[in-house]
Order: sequence, then structure tokens, then C-alpha cells
Amino acid sequence: MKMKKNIVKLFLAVFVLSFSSCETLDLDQTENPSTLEKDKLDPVYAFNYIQLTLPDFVNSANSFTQRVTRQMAMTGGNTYNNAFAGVNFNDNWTTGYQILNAVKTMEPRAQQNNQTFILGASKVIRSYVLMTLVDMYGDIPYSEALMGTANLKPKYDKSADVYANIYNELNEAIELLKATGAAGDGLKGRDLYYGGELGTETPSRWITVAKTLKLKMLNNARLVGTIGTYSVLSEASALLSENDLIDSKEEDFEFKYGRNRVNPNSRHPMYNDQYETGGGAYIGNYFIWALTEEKVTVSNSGVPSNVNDPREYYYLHKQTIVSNSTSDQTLPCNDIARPTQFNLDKYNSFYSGLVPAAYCHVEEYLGRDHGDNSGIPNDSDVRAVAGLYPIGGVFLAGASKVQNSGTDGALGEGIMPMLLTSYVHFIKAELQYTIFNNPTTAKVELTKGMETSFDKVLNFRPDYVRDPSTLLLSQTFNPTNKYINFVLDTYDAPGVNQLEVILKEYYLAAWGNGIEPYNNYRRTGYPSNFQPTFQDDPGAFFSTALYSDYSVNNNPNTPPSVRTRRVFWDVAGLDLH
Amino acid sequence: MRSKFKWIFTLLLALSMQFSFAQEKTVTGVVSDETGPLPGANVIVKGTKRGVQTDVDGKYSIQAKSGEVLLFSFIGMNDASITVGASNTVNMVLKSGGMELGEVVVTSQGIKKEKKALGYAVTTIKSEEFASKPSTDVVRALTGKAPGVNIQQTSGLSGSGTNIIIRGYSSITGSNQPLFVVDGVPFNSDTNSDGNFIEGATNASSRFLDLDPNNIESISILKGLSATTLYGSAGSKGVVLVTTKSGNTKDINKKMEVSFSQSLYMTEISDLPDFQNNYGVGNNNDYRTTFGNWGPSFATRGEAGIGFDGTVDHPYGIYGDKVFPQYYTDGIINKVEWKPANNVAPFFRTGIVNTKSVNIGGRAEGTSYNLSVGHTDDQGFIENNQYKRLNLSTGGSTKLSNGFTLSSVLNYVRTDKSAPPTGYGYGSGSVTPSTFATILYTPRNFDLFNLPYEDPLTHESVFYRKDITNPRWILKNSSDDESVRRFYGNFTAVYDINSWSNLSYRLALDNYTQNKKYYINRGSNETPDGYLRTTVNENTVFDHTVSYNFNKELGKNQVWAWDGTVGVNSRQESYDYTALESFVQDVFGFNEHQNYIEHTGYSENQSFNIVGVYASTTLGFKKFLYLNLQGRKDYFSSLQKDNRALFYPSASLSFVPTDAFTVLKNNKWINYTKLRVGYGSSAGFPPAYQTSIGLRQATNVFLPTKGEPINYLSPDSRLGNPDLKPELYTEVEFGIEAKFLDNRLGIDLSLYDKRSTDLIILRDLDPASGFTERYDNIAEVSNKGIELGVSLGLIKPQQADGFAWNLSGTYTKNKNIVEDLGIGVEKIGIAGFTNLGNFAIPGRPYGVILGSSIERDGNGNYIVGTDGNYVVNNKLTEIGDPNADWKSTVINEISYKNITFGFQLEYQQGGDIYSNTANALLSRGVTKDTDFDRNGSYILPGVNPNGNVNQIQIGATEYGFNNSGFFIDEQSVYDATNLRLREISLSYNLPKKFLDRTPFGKISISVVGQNLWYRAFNFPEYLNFDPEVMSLGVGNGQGFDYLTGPTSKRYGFSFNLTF
Repeated sequence: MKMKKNIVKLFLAVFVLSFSSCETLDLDQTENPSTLEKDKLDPVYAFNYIQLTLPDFVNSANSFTQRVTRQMAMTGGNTYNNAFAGVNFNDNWTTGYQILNAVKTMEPRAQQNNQTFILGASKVIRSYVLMTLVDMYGDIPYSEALMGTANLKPKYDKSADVYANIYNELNEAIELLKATGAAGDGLKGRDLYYGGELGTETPSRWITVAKTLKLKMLNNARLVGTIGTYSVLSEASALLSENDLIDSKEEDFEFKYGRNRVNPNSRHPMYNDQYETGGGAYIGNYFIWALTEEKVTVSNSGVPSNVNDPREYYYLHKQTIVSNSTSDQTLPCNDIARPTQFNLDKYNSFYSGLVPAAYCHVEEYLGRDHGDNSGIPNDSDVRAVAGLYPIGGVFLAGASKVQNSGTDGALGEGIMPMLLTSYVHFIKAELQYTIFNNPTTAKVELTKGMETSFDKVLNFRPDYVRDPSTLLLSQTFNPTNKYINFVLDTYDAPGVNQLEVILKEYYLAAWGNGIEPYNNYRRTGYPSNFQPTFQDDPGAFFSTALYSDYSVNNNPNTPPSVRTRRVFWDVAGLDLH
Repeated sequence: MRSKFKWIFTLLLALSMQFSFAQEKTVTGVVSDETGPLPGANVIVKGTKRGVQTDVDGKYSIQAKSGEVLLFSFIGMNDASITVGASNTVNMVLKSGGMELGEVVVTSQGIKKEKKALGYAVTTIKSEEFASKPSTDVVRALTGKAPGVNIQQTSGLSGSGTNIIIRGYSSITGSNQPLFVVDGVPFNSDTNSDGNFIEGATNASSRFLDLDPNNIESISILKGLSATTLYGSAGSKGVVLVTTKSGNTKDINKKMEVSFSQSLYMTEISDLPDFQNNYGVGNNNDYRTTFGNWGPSFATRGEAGIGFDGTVDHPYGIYGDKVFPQYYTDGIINKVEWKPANNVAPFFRTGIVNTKSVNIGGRAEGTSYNLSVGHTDDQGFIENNQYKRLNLSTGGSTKLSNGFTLSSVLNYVRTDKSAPPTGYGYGSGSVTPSTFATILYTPRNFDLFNLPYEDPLTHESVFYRKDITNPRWILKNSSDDESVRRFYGNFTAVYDINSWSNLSYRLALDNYTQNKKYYINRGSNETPDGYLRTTVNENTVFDHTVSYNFNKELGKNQVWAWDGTVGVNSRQESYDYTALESFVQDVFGFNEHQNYIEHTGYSENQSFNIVGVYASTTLGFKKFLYLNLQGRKDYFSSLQKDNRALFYPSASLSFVPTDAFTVLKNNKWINYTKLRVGYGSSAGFPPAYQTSIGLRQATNVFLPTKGEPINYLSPDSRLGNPDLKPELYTEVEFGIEAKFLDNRLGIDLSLYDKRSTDLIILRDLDPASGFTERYDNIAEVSNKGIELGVSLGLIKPQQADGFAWNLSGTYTKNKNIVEDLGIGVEKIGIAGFTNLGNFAIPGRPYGVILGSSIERDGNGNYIVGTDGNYVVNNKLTEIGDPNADWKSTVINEISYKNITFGFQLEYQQGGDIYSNTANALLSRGVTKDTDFDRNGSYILPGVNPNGNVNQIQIGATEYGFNNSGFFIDEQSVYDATNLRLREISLSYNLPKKFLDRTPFGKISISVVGQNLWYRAFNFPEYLNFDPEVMSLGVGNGQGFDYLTGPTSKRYGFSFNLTF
């Protein structure tokens, strides 16, 4: 009996002690209490993500395209082989597909809610991401992409096929946006691109973007003549005659950054990089040169004089006035002999052989040569930085240091340009010049391209109080008509490569966007006088970007990641450098 | 308590079938061994149920009849018997059962077993090995002492983390750290770092640091899976069983005793590089304020940027005369002499490590108790590095008359640590604040300690370049602090059902709150506005175990012995994490959130349960053959129902030929042999909530110039995997234990082959799938290895206190291969960067280092480019294998009379390390390694792209700066083969005769040094680099030195006293 009593006592004790332990027996705890469940994905919130991540995507594309097109200095290596590796494309590839996945994931709910504005505008963004991926990488996963568990190894579709699908998607987006009506779908999908401060929905603007993106695709594909079953010629004709294309600042496809420095940092990423402390990325000497030195008029007596680009002080800002007598402390290349390939005629000014290729520094700006990977001198507050346009930096003819923790200029309230009015005019100019064989109309578009670029840049951020002396200087010495006339005279001069004149202006207008110049260069080979690499013989140019390490390592269907692959529209067989 | 009673019951049972009719009387006596009375020895009247235990003085009293036989037994002693005669007093002296025969070890679930019955390897480490040592981290003190156990510090800073890996890495992306069990309680030993290695993960303490080495009685390490099966999935990476003095209620061989120990050690950086004093800052022999020291020699005058008077501009001239008017004269920058400065050594100090501990323990009338207090104050070798710990511990056990035995242990720990941030240093500075990122390559001419480190007005950092933060500034203005308040303990009730079985219930609790505070004042280069982050991490483990245990001897003459246990164990692990980050410091130097302008917060909590049902049984035959069978089935709460459970069995066999064959008994040459073979398995579970992933949520991500802040939701980049199931570990183990030559030579050899299948890894996905990663059961890893322990009595003493020299050694070799990563997956990043880190590649050793390499031609020659430098191959190439070929330890112990001298040597063969210390110091030209002729020209061995032998000359700067690993990762990889004097000690025990008239039982004093000498043979000589660092922190990354903190050496003395 005593034994039994004890056992009862024991089990009573165990029971009491285990009372608190019931929770330790619960075996169904698969949902994370600290995250929102998947079915809480409200399309309005997802649309915010899609809109906000697009400029990040473009920025990551820029980090490669601006460097191979000499807008920024390529410093990661002295040959194309060592300047970039698969890891450099992880961000771009990941960001791109995450945008696409967010679009795909929110679509069913948005369809249920009949949120056609969000559906349409997201599709436009999706199409822009996809065409950029194709333009950069060539073949990409499309038909089997974004399937999650159902397919972790999506196959890579031919770039031509993807292009055709994107073209169709843009048509679908237009239909969705047309169905929305002017007021939007009323579900408060805030439009961060065109909605103004109230964030209202603006379907018609997105329709214009979609149509303009179609035109951009047609121009890219003009050498092959078709996108899928669409004829470039007839599609382009239709779009041009309908003329619902981006042709005003209000329609410009761009992301507008804020000026808040921390929590959240809402500024232009290049402002973040160059206007804090410790010095930012170097600007490419070629770009500085093309902007400030390349255009010269030669007087009858043979004296060259600069044709100043009115955008100079908007595009660039110097922290210190650099000259040949600048201390070797900050300008070691002063001491290093100019590489011989820099003296070849083909790298001289397009306009006058009297202007040799840039080397070491240009005018008073400290940039860097293409492929200069030498050590970093003590020059963080000497390097040239981007100016007011498009990053929201300083507008000043003189020098001022900007390593001041983000307190200079327009505080980073810039834009990420994706497809601007001026770009569209240059695209039209190229189409007119090539497939429509109409150099005269091309010249009109070239003129409009320059004019709208000046208008955009010179009137950028009108609320930002400009330094009066610089403003005066840029108006007096850099009159736009002088510049435009010079370009048009060049265009009309005998023996000039007119298409290169157009693309050179596009190149200069595209400052801040590397994607367009990268496409242009591969399609046309212009500008043909890109600065050579500091180290001679850099190897083959990047016909496409490398695939991300993430896809190379994890998807056996990834094609060989070599930079000599070409996009389907790249058929000119150009010798690029 | 279980095992003690098992012995009694075993014997009771064996005798219970017989009867006796003689007249009973009371027999009393004292049971003792060579050293004195034995409390707790068993005295049984053979053939009856009558049995008692000796009391604290070894006395017993029992009813017996003349002619009956009294059986005396005690764990570790040979049994003895005596027939009761006329006398009512029977004293017995028990003899030690020999070194191995009766050795008892603690095994799974705290069950004590005779070592010879085990079919697997268990290494037991006694308190002498880690108590009162310079290392205040008990695990670190075990380094090199157990074969198969790889212990490595992350850095030499006080309170830094420690990595412990048993028998290789068996998981690829999951934790490979063993389970700690303290007095039966699963003890959280996580290393909780708020940031990744870029922010300095080496700074985070490993939570076994909360254990006071002076309060630990012994540590048993269960290495193989056949040993750890009963601990379930938590034990799949090995188990470290810690028995504290407070928890050691089974040790009843003790009168009340007070012990006190005090130790005082110094800690210093293990070594500094030997700097060159001939060349200063510059490039191509010109004076320039570069990072590197490729400038002119200090003898230069009037050229290369050096004035005719041998001066250069004052380095702080760059700040202008408004900031530093004292460095200007009439608006012109002052000059300073062009000469070397002593600018590194003063950065380091000698820290003092002060440890005190008091322990009171004893036993009275079936009740034992223990109280312990420990206090540790451990100062590191740099300013603002300190670790303080207070341990309070109490334990007790009482046996009630109704068959219940109740025992409990309660512990409270308070630790406070501070250290400066130790972010990843890449050789030109750091991304986040980092104390060690630049100090070692301060330009030889920069007089760091005689110049200000901050702007006198703004307190911003000043240095010779504005783009590097002054290391002294970081030391003064930033900190990475950690404080822990921890309670852990257990309550155990055992009820004796009958003489041979009992029912036991144990509740264990381990609960700690870790508060971290990381701040940097405004004014650094990396974080100009200042930053403050505080986090709270509350971690709780609740563990319940109900088990039925039995121990029976079957048949006559104890031919068969049968014991076993059946139990249910449920464990809940949960944590709550809250972080508050603040940006933009307002008033300089004040680090509370209210002094910051911007704030963000984050919180999460998680919890999972594992319920296990287990059984284990051992069948022994004639004490020379033992078969053990075990199995456990675990249920995990964070997997989908169909995949939630896994059953895993194990079996082992132990055979002792020296007991089995008469010819081998009492053999002088072969004293003992045991052969063992075991098969074990275990489960592994993924982290919680991986079958379904919720949304990514972010608020206040963007603020338009006009309008409200924007929030968003999006699908997470991680993909849930509903098919995730437990991973399975299996292992086959074979071993021999033997003693030869009159017990002079002992060996303990284990061979094992461990495999992890269906291994869960966090794999990267092609983002084109929509997701970037998910947990998957796709990998397979194997570990095959040899562990050898040898002991050798080189000189045996003639008398007890004569001259003796004992050698013991360990040898460990482990081959850790990634067998499979699933179809089509070529490699998976384990740790580090995606383009320079540890990777898993099928068929290759675990964690091979991949990075950029030197381009080779078809014949394997290095290709030198047209610029005279090596051409880089940016495709990820295997450039190193961080796994050591083998490791060995030799411990010498020489004693004479009361003096003992000992030293421990450790050798590691192979194992590569990527060293930023090496590449930064070499490419910056600061050590004597680069004190070569700077005017000479150099030709790199290799071929040019055209195939010709390279003959392009390059200057010293290019030779040193471009080819020291700065641009090509392969050039930064070194073989880490090293030999070190881990420990050297001299101790003196006061002779007993001096103590006889004092209340003291024992007084000893020791002088100890740790890591006083080492040599990494394949590193450039003057770096004096100690490769025993892990810059990726505790985890699966190995073989990386990212300038996150050097190692230390410690030396001093300890004093121990008992009364």
C-alpha cells in the first residue's frame, strides 16, 4: 500500500511540474509569429516595393554599364577580364528578378480586386526590367522563371523570344491601363513616378511610357528587323504617327529621389557615395573630356577654341582645381608617362584631330582613366564628383569640397533617369536616319534631343537656388545655341559620320544612365573614340554582362558565362573596345 | 543518484534468492582505501536483501550472522568479501581496481558507466586541466587536450568567442557546435552576434563562457553518435557533459571541505611584427601620403619629396590652421622630421586577469550540499577590453526515507564584457569601425602617439589621411559591450520502485538575457554621424525528462548483467530578440538613445519543441563482453506533419580480452585491452519556420520630398520548403584501448566514419526562380578520422613522491569531405564573401577557400601580364584548404616530491589561412620582410601571355604592393602549419607534514604561462603571425584572418587552498 501511495505522490508531483510543460509538447508550430503571413500581401504595398526597387535595379545595372561606357572610371581591373566577375552582377540579377517576383505574386489578388492601374503600371515596370536584363545579358530565364519550388532551375530563353514576349506584355499593360480610366482604380495604389505629391494614379502617363518602351525596343532590334512577328518598320511607323511618346518633362520616365539623409536615406545613390566622407567613385576621364574638351572649333588661323557644353557645371563638380602642377600626392599619374596607345589618332576628338585622347586628368577635373586600377592616392577631397544633375549635388563653376556628410548642393534630391524626352528624340533620330532613311528628319530630332536635354538639365530642380555667378557664367560662355549650331554644322559637314553625331549627343545627354549608352555602343559602335584602357590590350569588350554567380553556381541551365556572347539584336559584328 | 543505487540493487538482487538461518548480530566497522575512510561504500550481506552504505567517516553498521559473508564494494575499487566470525567489528581496506578496469565515466543522460562497458569513445577531462588556468574560458582551456576535439579561439581578446568542433564539420550551413549539458541540463552555448563578420563577429562571446572553470568537477566529451544517441538531434555534433561541483551530488566521498583559489595572470598580445625602420610612407620611392611604405628611405635628403633638412610637411597640415594652429607658423605648415616612430607597440597594454573562487561542499546523513562563488575580472591587451563574471552556484541532494531522492542545482551568472569593435579589415581600412584594421600598418614615420587623434573642436577623428579613421580614436570612441544575466538549474526526483529499478523525473531550465550595446561616437570615417544599437536577447530552454531505469544481474555468479533506460524527453527552446538602432548622435560622446535623432526598431521571437522517446539497454556477459542498443525518435514542431519525426538507432559492442582469457589475466606486458565497435545515428533539424516563409515587411523605407514615408510588403527572398525533413547522421566507430608494460604505456585509439545524409543546407537559388535561397535536404558530408591518445610513464617513481616523468599525447586526423550537393549544384558558399570564402564543393574537403587566383597557362605556369604583374583569374578557384592535415599535442609532466613541472606542445600540420594581416603588412611594406633594396627591379617568375619566359622588370613598389595578395587572393593564402607552447607550468604543493598542524588540507601554488611561444613556419618570418584566429567568428567559416584581433599570451600564478 505504501508503495502505491508513493507512486501516486510521484505522479502527482510529475503532473504538477509538467503543468508548465504542456507547451513543450505542442508539435505544430510551423508559422513564424514574427512575420506577416503570405496571404497578407496587399497589392498596394507590393506596388510600393515594385516602384521603389526599380531605381535600385537601374543603379546596379549602372554600376557596370556606366563603367564600360566610360561615364564612370573602370577601376576594378586593368583588363576587361579582371575588371568584373560574376559576383559583380549578383545585385542586378537578384534585384531584377525580385521585382518580377513581387509583380507575379501580387497579381492574383490585384486581379480579384480589379486593381487594373497597379496591374498595368507594374507590368510596365516588369517589362522595363525584363528588357534591361535581355539587353545586358542576352538569354535569360523567362518562360520557366519565378516558379519557386516548382522549378528551381529555370531554362534560359532565347533573347529574341523574350523580347517578343515583352513586346506583347507592353501591349497587355496598355490595355489594362486603358481599362483603368483616368481616375485610376481608386484603391490608392500610390504612383511614386507620376502621381505628384498626392500620389494619385495616372494611367495615361504609364500608357505613354509603355509605348515609348516599345519604340526603344524597336530601335534596339532595328538591325534584325523584327521582334517576334512584329516588323520593326511598321511598328515604329505606327508609334511615330500615333505620337503618344514621352515628349515632355512631365512624361519623363525617372525616379525622383528625396533629400532625407537617414532613416530613411532617400537620396540618389551616387550622392550617397560621393557627398559623404572618404571620397566616392571616380568619374571617367573620357566622359569629362567628351563634355569639356572634345568639341573645338578651329579658327581660320588654326587656333582651336572650346565649344563649351552648357551642361558642364550641372553634370560635374570639382572639389579642387586640378592642374599639371597638382601635387603628386593626389595625382600620381602626373609622374607616369602617357601610354603610347593614347596617342593613336582614332582616340582623338571626333570633331578635331587636334584634341588628343584624355589622360590622367581633364581640364580642372580629377577623374580616372579607363582601367586604371592602381592604388588610391590621398585624394578623397580632390576627386571630381557628379554635380546637380541628375544626382542632386552641387552646382558651382569653382571648386568646393563636398566630403561634408551630405550637406552640400541639392542634398541628393536627384533623379534616376530611365527614359527621358531627350533620349526619345535621339531614338527617333536614329530610327529616322536608319530604317526610315531620312537624315533631314533625323536632324530635327537631333536638335530636339539637344534642346530637351538642355531644358531638362539647365532647369533641373528649379527650387534649388543656383549660384548666381555660375549661372551667369554658364549662360554667357556656354550658350546653348552656339553648342547646338556647332553640332548641327558638324552634322551637315561633308564626310562626317552623321549617325555618330547623333549618338555622341545621346551619350552626353544620357549622363547618369549607363544602360542606354551601353546598348547604343553595341548596336552602333558609337562613340567610336572611347578612351583606350590604361593597360594596352584589355581583351574583348563585354558584348554582354556576365551572368550572376548565383545563377552560374546554382542553375545548371545557365549558359556559359562569357562576355563574348551577344544579344540577338547585336548583329553588326562591330569591333568594340 | 541513479547509478549509485544501481550498484546496490544489483547486488541486492543477486543475493535475494537465498536464505540464511543463523543468529543475527550487529556488525560494525570502517571501510577505507589507501588514503583513508571511504564514505558511501556498499556493504551487503551475501545472499540477503540486507545492505547499507558507509557514512561520511567510512563507518557502517549492519545486521549479520556468524558465517555469513559480507560483500564490500565501491566504484573504482575491487570488490572484497569477508566471512563474519565471532567479532562484531569488521574493518575492510579496499584496493583500487587498477587504472582502467574500474574507471567510471559519465555517459549520455548522466548515466555513469564503467568505461570498459562502453562501445564508444569518451574523453574525460579532470578539473586540474582547466581550473585556475590563465584562460577564463573553460573550453579554451581544453584546447589540444582531447583527440578529435578541435577548439579554436576567434581572437585573443578577453571575452571573444570560441569555436568547438568535434570530429569535423558534419553540417554545411547549420551549426556544428556540440551540445553542452551541465549537470544534466541542456545548456545554451550559442554565440550571439548582432552583426556578421564584417561588423566583427569575433567579439561575440560563446555562452559556455558563463561557466566558472573553478566550479567544474569534470568534463566528459561524447564524440561519436553511438555515445550521443540519447541526447537526440541536439547531440548530433557531439556532447560536452559538464559536471559542476554543485551538481556532483553523487560524489559522496567527501567531508565538509572549503576550497579557495586565487589566480592572477597578465595578458598581452602574443607578438608584434618586426617592423622595418628604413623606409617611410610613399610610392615608387617618392614621399606620398599613401597607405603603403614604399617611399624614400629615412636617410633621403633633398629629393623624392624630402626636404634638404630631412623634413616633410606636418601630417596634420591637411586640416588647415583653423583646426590645428599649433602645426602652422605664419600660415605655413610646420615641418616634421623624416624618421621612423614607435607607433604600434604603445597601442597595446598588459591586462590583468584576476580570478577568485570559493567552494564549500560536504555531506551529512544522506544529504549532500555544495556552495560556490566565483569572480573573474579579465582585462584584455587593449584599452576598453574587459570581461567580468560572477558565478553563484548551489546544489544539493537528499534521500528521503520513503524512497524518493530529491536533488537540485541552481546557478546564477552575471557577466559584463566590453571590447572595441573589431570589424572586418581589408587592408585599406574597414567597412565598419574596426580597432585592428589599420593599426599594424600605420606608416613607419607617422608619430601616432605624439599627435592628437581627434579634432579639438568637433572631436572628429584626425589622421594622416582623411579617409582612414585613427585607430586610437576608435579605441576611445566606440565599444561593443555585452552583458548576460543567466539562471540555470534543475530539479530531479528519483523514486526507487524496487531494488533494481527506479523512475526519475527531471525538470531543467536554462534562461538568460543577453544585452548588447554597440556604439560609436560621431566623427569616424565609417560612421560619421555616430551610431548606437542595443539589443536584448532572451533565450530559454525548458527540458523535461521522465525515465524508467533498471539494472539487473541475471543468472548465477553475475554472468549476465542487464541495465537500461526508457524515457521521454521534451524540450522547448525559445528566444525573444529586440533591437533598437539609433543614428545621428546629438551631443558628442553620450550614448543613450535619447541622444540620437533617428531610430529604428526590430523584434522577433521564436520557439520550437522537440519531443523525443528513447530507450537504451546494455547486456553484459561475464564483465568482458557488453552489447549496448539504443534508439530515439524525435518529433520536431517546426516541420510539416508528415516529415516531422525521425527514428534513429545505435548499437555498440565492447570486448575486454584481458578479462576474457585467463592467459591474459595478470599479464605483466599486456595489462588491459579492450576492443570496441559501434554504430550510431542521430537526427538534425532545420531552424524553425523554414517550411513556409512569411512576407518581407519594411516601413519608412522612402521619404519623398513631399508626402508621407513609404512602407512596403513583398514576398521574402527566401523560399519555404514544405518538403523539408530531418537530416540523418550515421557513424561507424571502432576502437582499441590498451595498457602495456605494467601500465606504463597506454593507448586509446578510435577510428570513425561519419556520414551526414539528407543534409539540410541553406542553398542559394538562381534568383530567376523568384527566390535567392531555401533550406533543402540535398547534401551529403563525410568525416573519416583517427583519434589517438597515448600515455607513457617515461620515468616511474620508486617511491610515491619520487622523480616521475609522464608523457601524454594526442593525435587527430580528420578527413572532412563534401560528398554531394544535389544534382547540378557545383558549389555552395559556407562563410565569408561570395567571391572569397569557404565553400562546399562535391568531392572536395569541407570549406575549401575559393577566391581569385593567378592565371596559369596550359602547363601550369603563372602568367605575367605586359605590365610585369601576375594576371588575375577572377573565376572562383580553389586557393586553399583550411582543414589541418593532422594535429598533435604532447603534454609533459615531470614531478619530484612536491614540485610538478609541465608543458604542453601543440603541432598543426597543414591547413591554409587567407591572411589580411599578411597581405596588408607586406603590401604596405612595413615589416622587415620588405626591407629589401627599394631601388632594385624585380622580375616575377612566370611566362608572358605570348608564352615566353617573363623578363619584364618591375620596381619595388609594384613587386611588393601588387604581388602580396592585395589584388590576387591566392597570394594571401598561407599554410598555417605551426608549433606552439600552449602551456607551461610549475606548481608546488605544500607537503602534508607542514599542514598537519594547520586547518588546511591542501595548499598549492602554480606559475603558469599560455601561448608564450609559437611559430608558423610558412609565414613570412617577421610578421610573427599567429594563425590561431577565426575572423569569420564562431561558426562554419575557417581559415580567414581579416585583421579582427590578434591572439594573446597569458602568464601569472594561481594559489589554491583547501580546509
